[in-house]
Amino acid sequence: MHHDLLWVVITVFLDLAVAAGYIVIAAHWMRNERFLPPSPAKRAMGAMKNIFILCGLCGYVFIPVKLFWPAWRLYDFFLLLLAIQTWKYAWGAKDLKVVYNELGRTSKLAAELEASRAEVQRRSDFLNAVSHDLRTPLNGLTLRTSLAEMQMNMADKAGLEQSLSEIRASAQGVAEMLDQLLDYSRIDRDSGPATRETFNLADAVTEVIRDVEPQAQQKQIVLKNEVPAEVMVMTDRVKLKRILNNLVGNAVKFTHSGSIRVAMDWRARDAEVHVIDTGVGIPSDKLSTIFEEFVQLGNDSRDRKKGFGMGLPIARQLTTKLGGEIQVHSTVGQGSRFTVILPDIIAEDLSSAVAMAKKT
Amino acid sequence: MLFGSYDMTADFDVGRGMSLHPTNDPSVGAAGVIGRRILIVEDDAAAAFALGEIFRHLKCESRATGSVAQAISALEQSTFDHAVVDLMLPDGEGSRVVAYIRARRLPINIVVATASSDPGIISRAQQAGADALLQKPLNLRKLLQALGLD
Repeated sequence: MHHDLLWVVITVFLDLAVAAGYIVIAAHWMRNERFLPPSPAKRAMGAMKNIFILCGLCGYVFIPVKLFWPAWRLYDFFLLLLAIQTWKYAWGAKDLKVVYNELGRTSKLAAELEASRAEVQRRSDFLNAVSHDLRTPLNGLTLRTSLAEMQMNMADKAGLEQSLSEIRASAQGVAEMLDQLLDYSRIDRDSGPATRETFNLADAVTEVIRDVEPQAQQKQIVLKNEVPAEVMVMTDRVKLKRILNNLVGNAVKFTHSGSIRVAMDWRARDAEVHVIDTGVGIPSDKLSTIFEEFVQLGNDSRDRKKGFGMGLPIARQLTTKLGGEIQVHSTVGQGSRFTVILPDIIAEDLSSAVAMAKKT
Repeated sequence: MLFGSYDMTADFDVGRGMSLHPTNDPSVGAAGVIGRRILIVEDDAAAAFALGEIFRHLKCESRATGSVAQAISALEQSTFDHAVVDLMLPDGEGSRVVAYIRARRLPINIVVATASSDPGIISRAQQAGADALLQKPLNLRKLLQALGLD
């Protein structure tokens, strides 16, 4: 056994050399795979890495076995070859970096391609939905016009009058849908950065309310402007009016009795404008999607006569442009409260006067 | 234009010719059309009402339904000669009504009218066995031609 000591030392040394090579390879591998998003390629490479680690572990585990195996000297020869090969590979394992970089780039490109495909699909779905939503009222209009022609020829004056007023109303409806659509497409293109001007908020709200007054009167809904008359704000007047117009218009559509109030709270220079209705309310599972552009278009259960349902997405986008956010609280059957939170818009020189007015 | 249904040569868009042929003029009356029973499947109330009135003026009987379920129960209760079927209904696709009619081999002439441009929906309606497919907004002359009422 004594003269075998040299061989034992050589064997253990070679074993350690092989195992150390494995460790170097595994280290390269782990360092490079860290930033790679999960993909089939990554899993395959990971499996290869695991084989290497396993081989390395086996190298250690079998050291005692090898010491007592009769052919261990021959084994040392192969072990030498394995050590050389392993180190060659370990030296070249720097190349794994290239492989993983390529893999990372490929999966990033694949994700981008997928995203752009989804965007194209979204646009095409959007166009289809818009065309469907325009064709539906136009169909009613066309048929009603045909009916009106029949009634005219039959001298059915009462029927004709009714048809004409229907035609006028639905033509108006189509025009409103187009307005909303243009409004929506314009947000990104030419509404531009928000401007800042100082104006009286209560006056702006009065103007917004005046716009929807006719529809509200038809439904006998009371519109109340509860914004204190003294409040001066500094923000983009046109955008803020469009936001409130969309919110109040939306409230009118979904309120069948009661009232719609526009009120406000403020803290220092931050304002919260509330639009509070006594309408049908929004189920809690719908709350998260009402501000999404394409949800309403695809929603077959909504009443298409009420338009594209893009008032809320428009309001949200505009609010974001003003640096604020919209929140909504709603109880089904009791009503909804939309809150536009706009930081830093209360005109400074009047904030103390407003606070005074609020106290009294 | 509705005179397209009475006067084969009249064009839908030519309004001048219409007053020459009042609907009650017996010389141009389409006797075979009177009394036809038409099922309207349309969830847009305005369009359904206008269609119903138009058919009433043409002396046809019509029944308006607004969903797949209503249409099927109407088909179970009564018989029809024609059906005008919208495809996007609140409780499903109009193709189901078409398939129901074809599965029972009912002798009904089916015209599908759709505002959708989704090729999937349209091809399902064709596969279900619709006789004609019209794009909304409907041209009344084309509709009556498709229904064989002109």
